[in-house]
Amino acid sequence: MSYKEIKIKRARSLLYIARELIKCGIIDGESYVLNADIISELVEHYAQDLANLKSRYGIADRANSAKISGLMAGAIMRYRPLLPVNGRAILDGYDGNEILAIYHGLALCAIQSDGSINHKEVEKFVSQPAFAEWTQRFKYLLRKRNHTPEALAFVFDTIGNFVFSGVDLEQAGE
Amino acid sequence: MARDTLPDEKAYLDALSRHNSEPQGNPNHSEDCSFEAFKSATDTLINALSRKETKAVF
Repeated sequence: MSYKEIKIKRARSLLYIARELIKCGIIDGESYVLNADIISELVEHYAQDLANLKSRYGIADRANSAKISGLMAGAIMRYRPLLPVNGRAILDGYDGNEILAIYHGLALCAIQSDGSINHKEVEKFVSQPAFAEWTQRFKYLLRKRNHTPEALAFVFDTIGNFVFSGVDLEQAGE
Repeated sequence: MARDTLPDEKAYLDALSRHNSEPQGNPNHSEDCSFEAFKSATDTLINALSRKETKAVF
């Protein structure tokens, strides 16, 4: 996959998840908007990070989807593509970008060897009683504490390897 | 036009006041939202993830 194709693919996957999260009401689409120019910068940053990560770890071919999830989550946190529609918006409890980073990562980590998303594994995970608490803590970490894209990749690596079954982290690699 | 959307000084001070009155730190409890609403929203999302088009998108 070329550098340009990687950027287009990630912009599309991000848009898909953002659109669906807004559609189902998990992200408030009335108050916030996804900025196209920021998405463009975000995926450029991601593609550069991916090239650096491959060089650092000596990855000759594709980096697995947990790494993609982590690097993308890091880029989402840096660029925050969901913007309030006006300057007077109250941001208390506003966590659309964190939600976007988490769900985008989960979807990527659930890709099976045939390329489709193992939605049943995602459903099983989000239906657990502890999921709400886990999400709260993850959002807090993402928004207010310190993390690196590689540390986030390790979170998604753990989910992909030890929580989800029937997924293929290498399949969705790039 | 753009100036209309800029907050005035009072908006900044109000935001600071709100922030100061809230407890800071790691949340130890779940969001105060109904489980039914969350379940319904996630069901919709899961349906979206099950669509064939995701194969090409992701």
